[in-house]
Order: sequence, then structure tokens, then C-alpha cells
Amino acid sequence: MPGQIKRMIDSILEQRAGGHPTILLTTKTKLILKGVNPNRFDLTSPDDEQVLARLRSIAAELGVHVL
Amino acid sequence: MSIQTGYSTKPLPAAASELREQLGGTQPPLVFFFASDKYDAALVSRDMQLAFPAACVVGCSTAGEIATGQLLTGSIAAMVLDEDVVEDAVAVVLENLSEGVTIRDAFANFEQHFQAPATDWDLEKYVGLVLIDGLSGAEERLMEKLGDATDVLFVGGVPATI
Repeated sequence: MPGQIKRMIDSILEQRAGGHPTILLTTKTKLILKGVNPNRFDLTSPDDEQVLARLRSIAAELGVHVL
Repeated sequence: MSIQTGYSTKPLPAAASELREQLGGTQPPLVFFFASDKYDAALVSRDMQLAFPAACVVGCSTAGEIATGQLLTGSIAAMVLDEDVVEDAVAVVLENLSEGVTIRDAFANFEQHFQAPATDWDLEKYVGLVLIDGLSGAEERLMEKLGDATDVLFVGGVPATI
């Protein structure tokens, strides 16, 4: 099912930023610096296992949980 | 005044005493100093702490000191931040960064001092300062770990020599 990457990114951003606009921006920047650009994925993006694995790793580094 | 700066070209310990006098003889919560590497690092640290015994005193070596609009060499430049600017401050030292970057203990120290988990630190009230030995080659790894641990802004720089 496509879109897992987008949903995982949104989950990380929501958990980390909690609606705070500044933290949302800095978290997006952190994701980019860690190799995943949130702006490059949407709900039609294919579920690339490498990207999903990287996002799980990033989530652990940022102290948030993703499925 | 909330923030004052000064400098001294005297040898130790007179330099630290002169800085204390220049900076109003106050006991601010936070003092930064930037010292030429002509000064012994341990001695300048000791003397600056003795000059401001109630303050959190942090500093590093430089290849040139900028103070009150002047570019100096062979001096100590200092900045004091009083209670109007800084309510509280704490410093930790991370050693052997070239062998690995671990900030868990440092953050435990911060959280204990401020009585709040890092995730609860208010971005409008907290700020971090990093002075890192560039020879460790660990600047990016440290900054990434800090960014993972907190959303508080950490700024800083690399001393000229350690």
C-alpha cells in the first residue's frame, strides 16, 4: 500500500513537534540532514523499504515511535 | 547592565582580577571567557572561576580575541550575563569525543539541574552553547545528537586550540 513513508514522516513530525510550528520546521530540517526530505513524499509514494527502514532508525534517534 | 564585556592583556592571575573589576565586580550567573593560548588552560580556568566564584564560568582558547570592538591577540576577553539575561546556567564537559559521542550523562545532569526533562524545555527560555575541540573531529556527530535529544537551540563554535 503506497503512502507509508508519508504517514511515517507525518507521525514523526506530529510526535516531535506537537503542533509547535518552529519545532515542526526544525524537525523537517533534521529529517533532511538525516537523509529523508519530507517534501519529496506524498500518499502516492511507493513504499521503499530502504526509506522506511531509515525512517524507523531516525524515529528511534529522535525518541519517537512509529509502526 | 545586563551584558558586559571586557578584556585583559595582563598575565595570570592579574588578568582575571582585572576582568572582575572591569565587569563591575558583580557576581553574575554566567561568565564566558575566550583566552589566548598563551595562557595555561587549566590556570586561566581556575583563576576565572576564582574571580567569579558564584558564576557558571565557561571558556575556550582562541586565535584572536574580539572585545569592545577590538581584535586582540594574547589576551582574555570575557562576557558576563547578569540575572536579567540568565536566570540559571549549568555546564558539563564531554571528554574523549573522538572515541564516541555520548550525551546521555550530560543530559541527565542538565535535567537534574533544571528539574525538567529535555523534552519539556521551553524553546523561548532555554538555549545551549557548545564549545568543542575541533581536533576531536566530532562536531557534526555531537550536534546531531544534541538535535536528537532536544529542540532547544544549541549554538557555539570551535576553539582555536585546546
